[in-house]
Amino acid sequence: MKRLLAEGEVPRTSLIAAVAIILLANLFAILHGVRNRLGPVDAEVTLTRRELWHLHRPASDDDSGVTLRLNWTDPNSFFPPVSTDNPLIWLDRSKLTALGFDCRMDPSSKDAGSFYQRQQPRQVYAAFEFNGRTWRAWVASNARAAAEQKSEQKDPARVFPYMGNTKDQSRLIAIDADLNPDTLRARHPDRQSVIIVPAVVAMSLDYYSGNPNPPRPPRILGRIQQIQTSIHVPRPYSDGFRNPHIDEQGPDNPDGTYRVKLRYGASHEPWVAGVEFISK
Amino acid sequence: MIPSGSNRTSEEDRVAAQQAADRIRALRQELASDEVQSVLALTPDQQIRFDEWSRARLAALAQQFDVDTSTSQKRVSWAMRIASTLGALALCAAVVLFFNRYWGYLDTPVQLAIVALTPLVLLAGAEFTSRRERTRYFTGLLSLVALASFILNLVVAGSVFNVTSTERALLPWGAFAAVLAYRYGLRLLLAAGLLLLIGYAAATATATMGYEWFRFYDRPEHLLLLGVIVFALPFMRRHLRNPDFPPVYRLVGALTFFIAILSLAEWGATSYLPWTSENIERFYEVFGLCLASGAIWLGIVRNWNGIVNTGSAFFLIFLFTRLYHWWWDWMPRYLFFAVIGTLGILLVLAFKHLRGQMSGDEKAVTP
Repeated sequence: MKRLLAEGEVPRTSLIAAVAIILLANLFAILHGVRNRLGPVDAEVTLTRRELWHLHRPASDDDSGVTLRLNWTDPNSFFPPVSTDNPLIWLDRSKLTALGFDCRMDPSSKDAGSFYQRQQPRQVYAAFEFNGRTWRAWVASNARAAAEQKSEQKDPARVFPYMGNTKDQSRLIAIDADLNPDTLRARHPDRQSVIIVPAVVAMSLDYYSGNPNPPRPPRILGRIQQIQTSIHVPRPYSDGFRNPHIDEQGPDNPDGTYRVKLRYGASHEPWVAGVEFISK
Repeated sequence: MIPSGSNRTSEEDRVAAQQAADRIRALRQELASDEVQSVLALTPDQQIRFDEWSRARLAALAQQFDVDTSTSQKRVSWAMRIASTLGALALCAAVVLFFNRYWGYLDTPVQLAIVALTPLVLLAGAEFTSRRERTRYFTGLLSLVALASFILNLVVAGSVFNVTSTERALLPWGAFAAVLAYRYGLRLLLAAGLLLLIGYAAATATATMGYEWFRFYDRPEHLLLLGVIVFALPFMRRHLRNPDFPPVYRLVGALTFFIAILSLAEWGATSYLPWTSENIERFYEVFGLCLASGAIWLGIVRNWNGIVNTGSAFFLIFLFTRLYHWWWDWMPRYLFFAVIGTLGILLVLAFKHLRGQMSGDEKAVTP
């Protein structure tokens, strides 16, 4: 028999609903994490300080957690302003169209500016290769661009300061993107050097910042705008990062004093599977 | 009529009790004034009986529903409301900072257990206080901290598992806030819940179309539609237990709606309309002015003070924005501000005229 509610008494349904929301949300979060880690490993890479920055915090800081920041190189968005075009651009008009961007309008037309201004960043999957062929090509093209700018620029004060300096730069370089992570993996099957992650790609009209000779019309260019960069380091691995000398990096050791083994699971989300600290 | 409540009185009873107390207090003041006494003089016996009855009734209402029976009490109640809200916000910050300060020294299962248990414990605290207090100061405070803890809970879980940023967490946060709001009759929690759910719906639409979910504000027309839906919800569901909730729906809906229009009037490139940005901006400026006027009219007709104020505020914002675009560049600054000041005076005169007419209308319908 149903118990009658006293006057003013609120039914328990809403209380049960509030508790259920908390429990279900936690259950889903844990299941998501477990599913990512217990499924087949999508990729495993070992990265150094160049790719994973640790921002040291003093013991008095309000946040005691240890977080590494994934640092990557996008050949589409960063190239010194020289006459020769960047040879490693791959996020071009055809690729952007394949990723869902509307690239119908001729970039030279007078309405192109307002048309492409309306294109919002899109959610895709991107492939990043660690210390592979693309990275070596990037180093070589940067060195060539540095030499070219030196010869073109009469005033040394106006030479781009970081020209050709790639020895501190992240070797994790964007090489491809697709809407489907499985298709992307099929194109880049090396799981020891290529990671596939959710990414945000933006596009814009590029008016050639250098001095192209002969002058060229504007073109459509994409860039990797965002990927998941915060990597939580759990205990016991995090304890080693509390050493105040952990972030030391000099000309003789650009890779820093730690190596982090990252695994990417079924949901293309990473976790720290091991940390090696290198004593000098 | 005020129902006789148990210790746990519903919000409806409390609102009705407060209205009854306000009426009795106003009647006592009016009857004591010389002007009323000159036309309606009570005999000493009637005066004594009225005083005894009104005092007893106010005391009974105060005891049963904890309502304010004097102007000073009302002021103190407002101070308590502000203090409990500020206290709740400070406690939210304390919970988050305390956890951040020590979580790095804990193992992952302990971290997850602590953040999952904290909102449950605070919810139990809110339930406990709601059974013991007729006003909602401590219940509101604990509920707000419970919501903040639940937000921290999912943020930490997402961070521990390095989950890719997603809009999905907005749904349980919004649902939790709404459930607490309805259970304990808390308007602030309802407003927070509605905003979270609006954010979730807009972000889901954005993500479904393949865009980055966090930039849901880049499509203000989604928010425009959601604002209308939230505004209309009280028409579909009667709030018998929480009669003070429909104004919250209307205010949240109207603010979402007008902010979306204002955003489109300033930057038309984010619109779905297939026109040039400039035409879209002009369209939404005029649309905003018309709808703000409509909101003022609707608020007056339906006696919705919040909508009258919101409509008036946005009417002025749209008007001054338009004037700024027209005149700022070519008019001397002193002249621009002089014109704005003159317009302000004209608007005051127009509102005064409208107010006078409304007073006349009310006289006309009085038998």
